[in-house]
Amino acid sequence: MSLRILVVDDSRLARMSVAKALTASHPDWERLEAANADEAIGIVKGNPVDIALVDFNMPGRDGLELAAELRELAPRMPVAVVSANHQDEVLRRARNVGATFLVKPLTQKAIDDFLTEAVARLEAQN
Amino acid sequence: MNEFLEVFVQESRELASQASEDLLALERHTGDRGRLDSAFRAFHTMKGGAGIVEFEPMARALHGIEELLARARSGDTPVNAALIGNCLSALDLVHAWLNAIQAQDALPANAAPEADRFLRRLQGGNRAVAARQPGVGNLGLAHDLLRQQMLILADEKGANRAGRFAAAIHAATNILRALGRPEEAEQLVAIAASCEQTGDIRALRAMLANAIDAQTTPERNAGPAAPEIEAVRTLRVDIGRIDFIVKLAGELTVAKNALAHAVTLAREGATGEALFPVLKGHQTILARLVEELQQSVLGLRVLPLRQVFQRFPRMVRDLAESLDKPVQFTMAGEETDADKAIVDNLAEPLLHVLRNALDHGVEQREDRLGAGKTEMATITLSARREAEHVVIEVADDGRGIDPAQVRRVALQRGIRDESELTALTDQQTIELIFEPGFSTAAQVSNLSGRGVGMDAVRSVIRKLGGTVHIESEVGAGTTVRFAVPFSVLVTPVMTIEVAGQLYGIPLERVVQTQRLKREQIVPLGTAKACVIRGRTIPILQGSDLLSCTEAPSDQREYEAVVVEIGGQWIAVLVDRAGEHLQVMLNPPGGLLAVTRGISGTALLGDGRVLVVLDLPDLIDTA
Repeated sequence: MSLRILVVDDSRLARMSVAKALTASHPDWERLEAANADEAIGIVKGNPVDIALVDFNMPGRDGLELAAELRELAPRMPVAVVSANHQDEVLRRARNVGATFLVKPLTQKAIDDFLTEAVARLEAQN
Repeated sequence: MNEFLEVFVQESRELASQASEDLLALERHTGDRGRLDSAFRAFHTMKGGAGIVEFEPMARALHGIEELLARARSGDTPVNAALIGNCLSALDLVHAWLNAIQAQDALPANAAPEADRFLRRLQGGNRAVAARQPGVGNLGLAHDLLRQQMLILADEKGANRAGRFAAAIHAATNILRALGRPEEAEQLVAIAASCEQTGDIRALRAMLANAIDAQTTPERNAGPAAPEIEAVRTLRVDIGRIDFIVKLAGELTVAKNALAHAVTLAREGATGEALFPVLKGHQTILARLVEELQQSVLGLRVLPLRQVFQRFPRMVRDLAESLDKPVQFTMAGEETDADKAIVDNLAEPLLHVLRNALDHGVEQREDRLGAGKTEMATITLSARREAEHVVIEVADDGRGIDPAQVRRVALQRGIRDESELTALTDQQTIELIFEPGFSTAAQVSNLSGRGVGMDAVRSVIRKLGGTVHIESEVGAGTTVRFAVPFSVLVTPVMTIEVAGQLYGIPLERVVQTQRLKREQIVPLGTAKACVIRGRTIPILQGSDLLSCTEAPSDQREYEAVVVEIGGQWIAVLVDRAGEHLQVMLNPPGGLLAVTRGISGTALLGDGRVLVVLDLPDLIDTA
């Protein structure tokens, strides 16, 4: 199944790194990138995406706020919030908005595991 | 360089620059929550980047800073000078690493111990601030070593005390010598000798503690080394501008194809009469497209002066601290745009002028208070656009330049003789500081490894097609003003022919061209002069200026180009004054770069290279 995945991070380097991992495991997926929450919302409103991978630490609205908004727009979309800081607070809030928490720097395995689980969830919904 | 590393360096530089800006703002307003958050984010993202490229030492060092900032964010610790100092030293470390990455295309090998040392300093309180003193590269390391020697000396019970004592003294002496503090090394040896006799090492420890704490005051004359200013190697461009150029490129292709059609018509025997309207139409379209392209490309190179200004608050802060002169530094007009070439080249002259203001302009605290001034001096760096120029000013409220003092120095260094000096107004006297040879070797700092006096400042600004002015009032302060062209890319020039060779001179220098009859040229002392528009102006032979061997012929009539240099008119005799051209001026390269009097070269339509002359420089030299 070819999916559309949205990667949101204010760091271009971080987006590149996710892109590399995605290309390795899912070369056929369509990848969209945004540098902040506003851009991300713009993309999702213009054209729905299937999965979102969101950085926690961003100028403007942070990744958790964005995750909450994304979940509101598309309640069934799997969303992961990525942060370099393994803080209980972030973890708890991610769980509250129904997002998966992933630790930065992202490893290929962490991304693959999340995506496998996300695909399973999407398939179960269909 | 691999793409990831390249983006990492670029992004880290941007983030470091953002963090530096935030920290300096935070220093002024410690309660600025937005700046604190922004600095935190910048360090955090840098750390994340370091993790991605697997540069573990940097990630570790930045993690330490991030924790400090996190504590400040949660209100556990205050935002104070120590915190800001530590963050700034982290940025120094990051810059050094990024430079190393760029230089060797790989992660630096020795970063791990550096990161360790840095983190130890973070834990050891405010030592990091001392380590950041400008001009002394590895002071932190040296001090750590000295501290170790102190610990060795403190251990009086261990085995082989005498041997350890001697070794520690030996090491400490060498460290002090390496730091360029031989007097202290000698002192240490002397104290050690007396301590050895009495067995009381308290004096020795006190001496070492002083040596560690001494703020190595930079030598007055040499001045502290300037923080490194690295060139902006990438250019961020609004995507809209690129799109527009892409569109223009498309239109140019269409125009090219249309021209091919005209060529076909000509080959098939179309008459000139028939071809003319077709070609004329194409030419009009091409002229418009080329002009639009030129404007757009120029637009790409336009940058805000912030790019160069943003490094100065930090530098002024460090320098003011090391000179112990409290200074309020303000900037205005950072958003003023200028051509990238101008922005890139302004850093060095501005740095020099700012350092002069701090070093020579601003008085010591006591002197300021004695003169009834505020203890805190003010230095302002401002920029504004004036027509086709960008004007940049550095103003201080220091002691001002004393013309009497300048006269003394000028006389002493043989810049002018006594009679010449008496003829000068105070303003003209002050301007002597721009003369080559005015700055003594002692004042010449090794900015970027070469000597820089005010004459070098003037020469850089002139190379950019600009001018430098200075205003100063004794006791009230000094203002140095640069006026540089907004754009350096397209320069209107006039061509002149001298001894059969074509040269260009910037049109802004040209007052008029004039035919001079032999009898209009009158002797003036050993030189020649003529009267134009009621002014008596000196005449120079173009061939003399350009050191051509060809003797000027005796003609009935001469062609002269009247140029203005520093408010004075000079008539230059040429074989022929030619047309006005708009040229793209390239900075002089190769052999020309070291030849005086050349501001650049331009490619002419027929493929010839036009050498564009720097008249003030040429006439100075002649």
